[in-house]
Parts: sequence; C-alpha cells; structure tokens
Amino acid sequence: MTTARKVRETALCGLMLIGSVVVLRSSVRHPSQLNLLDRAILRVSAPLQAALAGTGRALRRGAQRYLLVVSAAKENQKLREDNARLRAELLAAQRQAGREKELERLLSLQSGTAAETLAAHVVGADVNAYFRVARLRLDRGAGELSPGMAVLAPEGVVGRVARVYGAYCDVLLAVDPKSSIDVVIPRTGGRGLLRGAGGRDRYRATLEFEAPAEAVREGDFVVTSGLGGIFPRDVPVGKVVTVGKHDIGLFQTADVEPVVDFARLDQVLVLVTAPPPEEPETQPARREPAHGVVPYR
Amino acid sequence: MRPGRHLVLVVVGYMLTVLQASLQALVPVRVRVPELGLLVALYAGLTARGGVAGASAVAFALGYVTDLLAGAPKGLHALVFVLMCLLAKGASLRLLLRGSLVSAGFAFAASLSAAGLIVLTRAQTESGTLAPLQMAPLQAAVTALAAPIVYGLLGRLEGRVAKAHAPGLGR
Repeated sequence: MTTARKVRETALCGLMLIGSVVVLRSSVRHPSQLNLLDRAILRVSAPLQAALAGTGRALRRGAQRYLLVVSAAKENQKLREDNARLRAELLAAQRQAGREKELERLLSLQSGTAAETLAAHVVGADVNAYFRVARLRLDRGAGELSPGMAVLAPEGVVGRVARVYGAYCDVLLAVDPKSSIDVVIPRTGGRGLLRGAGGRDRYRATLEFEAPAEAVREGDFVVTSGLGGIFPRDVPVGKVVTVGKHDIGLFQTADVEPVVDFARLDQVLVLVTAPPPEEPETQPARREPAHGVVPYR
Repeated sequence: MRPGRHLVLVVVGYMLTVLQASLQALVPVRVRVPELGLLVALYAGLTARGGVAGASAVAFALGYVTDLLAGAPKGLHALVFVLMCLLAKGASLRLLLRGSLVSAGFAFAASLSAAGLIVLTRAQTESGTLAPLQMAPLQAAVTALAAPIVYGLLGRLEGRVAKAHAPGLGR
C-alpha cells in the first residue's frame, strides 16, 4: 500500500469516526430530528420488520399449536388406554355378574330337586365349524359320576352323562341322535318320545307321539314325564316348532327346539341319585314341579 | 476497496439488523438476541484486505441503521461499530483469527467492549447509568454463539458475489 493510499485510508477512517461523533452530538441535542435519509430507512424497514414479526408470531403460534396437539395426542392415548382398561374391567364384571346369576339359578334348581345333585363346570365343548356344541365336557368324573346320570341346567334338560374318564365326563346332549327322553305335552297331557335329531350343525329333536295329530301344536312346550328313572318330572326340554303331517300311521312326529342354549352353558347340575319314583295318581295333574323349576305351560 | 463486496455487506447487514430488531420484539425481555449488525461490522473489519476505509464505511452504515431501529441517539452505534471494525482489522493483522472458536471468542470480546463503549457514551451524553453493563456478558455470549454462523453465511455470500463478478469464470 502506498503512503498516499495509507493517508487516504486513515483520513477516511477518521472521517467516519468524526462523522459519528458529529452525528451523535447533533442527535443528543435534537433527539427527535429525522432527516430525509432517516425517514427513508425507517419507511423501508418498517414493512420488513412487520413481515418478520408476523412470520415470527405465526411460527410461535404454530409451535404452540404443535405442542398443544402433542399434549392432546398424549392425553388422548392415555384416555384410550384408560377406556380399554375400563371396558375390560366392565366386561369382566358383567361376566362375573352373569356367572353369579347362573349360580343363583343353579342353587335354586338344586334346592328344588328331590334327588341328590352335584354341580359341575362345563370345561370343554366339542365345537364344530358351525359353532354348535354337540357334546359337553364337565369337570366331574370318576368317583362322583357315572354314565346315564341326568344333567340339568336352570332352563331345563341338558342331557345325560355319556362317559366318565378320570376327573372328567362327557355329556350326551338331549339333541344327540343317540338320546331319547320320555316327555309330556303339558297342555294336553299327551305323552311322547323325544329323540335327538341334531346333526353337528343344528339343535333339534324329534318328538314322536301317538295320533291324533291335533294332540301337538306348534309352540307347545315339552317337559320330561319322569318315567324312566333318569330325569325328574316336569323339567322343560323344548318347544315344538313344526308338526309333521302323516295321514296314515299310528305315530306322528314334530320338530322340537331345545330350551337350553348349549353353547352358553357354564354350570350344570348332575343328578347323582335317581329322582323319586313317579306316583301314578299324581301324574295327570302335572301342576307342581318336583325339581323346583317352573315348567312351561 | 471493493464497492461490490461492501454493498453486499451493507445490504446483508441491514437485513440482519432488521431481523435482530424483529426478534427482539418477539422474544421476552430476558431473552437476549445476538447483535447481528455488530457481527457484520466485525466481519468487515476482519476480512478487510488492503485498506480499512470501506469496512469502516460498512460499519458506520450498519451502526447508523441500528441507531435508527433501536431508537438510540444517532451516531452512537455508528461510532462504536466503526471502532470495533478498526479493532477487528487491527486484531486480524496481529492475531491468527481463524476457526469458529477463535472468531466466537473475538466476537465475545468485541461485544463486551461495544457494550462498555455504548453504556459509557450514553452515560456521558445522556446522563445514563452503568446498570445496563450487567447484561453485557450474557449479551456478548449470545453474540459469540451466533458469530460462526453469521461469519459462515457472509463468507458464502461473499464467495458467490466474487464468483459472479469474476470475468470469464464459471461461464
């Protein structure tokens, strides 16, 4: 750098410093005085500042909203979890209440049954593709039960103990084709034989009864007769859904739908002793049930 | 002296000063905003090649704008920025001011010095107090943190401008 340039540089720098001091002194004396340049700078700067401030505010609002959303999302998640937990608890409570109600009804059945009974849990079911139970498994077995014992639910007849193995037993349902129960139509007092007709996809039984066909109508309830020494008298078995029309022949048939929903069974009662023998003179009356279940009339 | 470079520095410095003023209006009083205008003035001084008159002019302009936007007496920041620019030029001649840490350290010292000068000058000219000096270390620290970013930004801009003005290069 040449001396002349050095001098020029120094002079310019000095000019800047002196100019600053002069401007400062002038400004201190007249603080509110703005020249043309000041006004221009401020006029240009003001919209820029406004735009930047607006952007900043928008960003701040966005950030606050984001935090709010994050907070709300967390709260929402917590509420969902609480809701799921409470739903599960409610479901468990409802199931417990249902189980207790079932037990009450079972107890009522037990106290009203003349025969000695044993309560049992349904621990397994043979479920086929159509969700029909063809066979039940109970948690009572050898030493307590033996094949042929009647199995009842509060609604009515379930079936009979088919086989016993270890601590468990299988129940032959009333709708099983191997099952046959002596029954009565309470409305007419007519007797018949209820044979299981259910395949693996339906719960049906066939009632075989003596003519005339008018002895049975659709909607008639079918109860046990008490004969045979297995089931007590007047235990509901099912309801007639269709009556067959056979012009010739001694026996007529009707389709019967069981009163027990086998798929929903949780607890049952097994008659471990035979019910008291049927008294012939009381048979026609059929007014008071022997086992405590109100019969369908 | 390179007028194009200085013009870029003035424009960018002006934008950063406006940004600084806007940020200051948005954040709470306790939150400090880096002195971006001062950093540009320091950069002008640190990177001045040959003469320092152009860098001083940049510092003066930015100081003047800062005075207007900050509502300070006109010439106060202008004087301080020019002094800091000259200090930076002197430091760059005697010290090896390279690297983020060193440049941040120098920015801290310069910001602290500027604060001292401003407060003292105001105390002299407007019967102000020295109380604002309490905020100076924090303000200097924030400015020092922003220094490497601002210097980096200015360096890139300067590089692009230099490339655009170089005849026959990049075409």
